[in-house]
Amino acid sequence: MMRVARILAPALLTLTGGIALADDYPQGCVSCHVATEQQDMRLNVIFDHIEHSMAGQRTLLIPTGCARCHADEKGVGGALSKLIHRSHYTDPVQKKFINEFNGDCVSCHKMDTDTGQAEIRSGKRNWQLRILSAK
Amino acid sequence: MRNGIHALALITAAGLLVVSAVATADDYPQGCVDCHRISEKGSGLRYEGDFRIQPLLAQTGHRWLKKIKTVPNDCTKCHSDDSDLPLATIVHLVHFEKPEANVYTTEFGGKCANCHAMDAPAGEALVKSGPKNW
Ligand code: HEC
Ligand code: HEC
Ligand code: HEC
Repeated sequence: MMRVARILAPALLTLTGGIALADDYPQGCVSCHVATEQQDMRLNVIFDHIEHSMAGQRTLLIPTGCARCHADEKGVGGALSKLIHRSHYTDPVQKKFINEFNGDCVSCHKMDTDTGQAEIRSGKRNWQLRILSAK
Repeated sequence: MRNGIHALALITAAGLLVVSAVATADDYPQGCVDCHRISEKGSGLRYEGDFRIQPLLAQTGHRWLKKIKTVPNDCTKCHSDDSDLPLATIVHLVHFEKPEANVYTTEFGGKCANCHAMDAPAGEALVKSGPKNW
C-alpha cells in the first residue's frame, strides 16, 4: 500500500524525537486512543468533539474501514493519510503525540520485513455503539 | 533481486563498526548520503571505512551510477514504483529484512525518520535527499 509520495529537496521538515519501540501500539490508532483514569482519548469521544458524522463511530475497523469515505482525495471525506498526518505532526497534537506517547511513524505503520512493504496498523473499534443518538 | 539485496545487506553489516549512542537530533537531514559516507577520524560516524552507496553497489555488481546526481531521487528513473524493482521495496528490504540480525534495526534503531520527513501542512510523507557524494 505504501507508495513513497514524493521525493523532495532536503531542507524540508525533518523529524526528531524518541525512538518508539516497534510494538508499543500493535493495533495503531485504537492502541493509543484509549480511555485511562486521567483522560478518555478514544476516537468516538474525539469524533463528538470534532463534530464528525455518526459514520465515524459506526466504523468497525480503524482506520481501514474509514477508507469507505477517506480512501483518497476523491472520497467524500478526503484522504485520511493527509488528515491524520497533518493533525499528528502539527501542534498542539504533535506535542502530545511525541512527548507524551513517544509517537512515531511506526505507531501507525508497520514494516512487513519479508516483502519490504510498509503497512497501516489496524484494529477493531474500542467503544460501544450509540445507536440512538441522532446526528 | 533477492541475491543482490542479501549481498548488499551483508556488505553493509560487515562494513560497520558500531558505536552505541542513540541519535537525538536529526543526524541525517539529507537521508541516504548523510549516513552513507567515508568515515574519517573524528567524524563521529558509527562505522569505519568507505560506506558510500556507489562502492557498496559496485560490490554487488551494480553498474556504474554515472548519471545520478541526487540521491535517491535519480534512482527512481529506473527503479520507479511501476518497475520490477521499485526503490522503496529494495531499500526497505535492505534495511529491514531479518530485523533480528539487520544492522539497520539492531544498531540504528530502524527509524523511518532517518530517511523520511513529514511535510506537515500538506500531510504528506517525503523522502529526504541530497547530492551524491561519490
Ligand atoms: C501514539 C499515539 C497515537 C496514535 C497511534 C494515533 N493517535 Fe490520534 N492523536 C493522538 C493524540 C495525543 C492526539 C491529541 C489528543 C488530545 O488533544 O487530547 C490525537 C488526536 C487525534 C485526532 C483529533 C485531531 C484533531 O485535529 O484534533 C484524530 C481524529 C485522531 N487522533 C485520529 C487518529 C487515527 C485515525 C489514528 C490511526 C491512523 C491515530 N489517531 C493514531 C495520539 C495518537
Ligand atoms: C460515511 C463517510 C465517512 C466515514 C465512514 C468516515 N468519515 Fe471522516 N469525514 C467524512 C466527511 C464527509 C468529512 C468532512 C470532510 C470535509 O469537511 O471536507 C470527514 C472528516 C473527517 C476528519 C476531519 C475533521 C476535521 O474537523 O478536520 C477526520 C479526522 C476524519 N473524518 C476521520 C475519520 C476516521 C478516522 C474515520 C474512520 C473511523 C472516518 N472519518 C470515517 C466522512 C466519513
Ligand atoms: C497517527 C498515525 C500516522 C502516523 C504517525 C504516520 N502515518 Fe502515514 N499514514 C497514516 C494513515 C491513516 C494513512 C492512510 C492509510 C491508508 O489509506 O491505508 C497513511 C499513509 C501513509 C503513506 C501512503 C500515503 C501517502 O501519503 O503517500 C505514506 C507514504 C506514509 N503514510 C508515510 C508515513 C511516514 C514516513 C510517517 C512518519 C514520518 C508516517 N506516515 C506517520 C497514518 C499515520
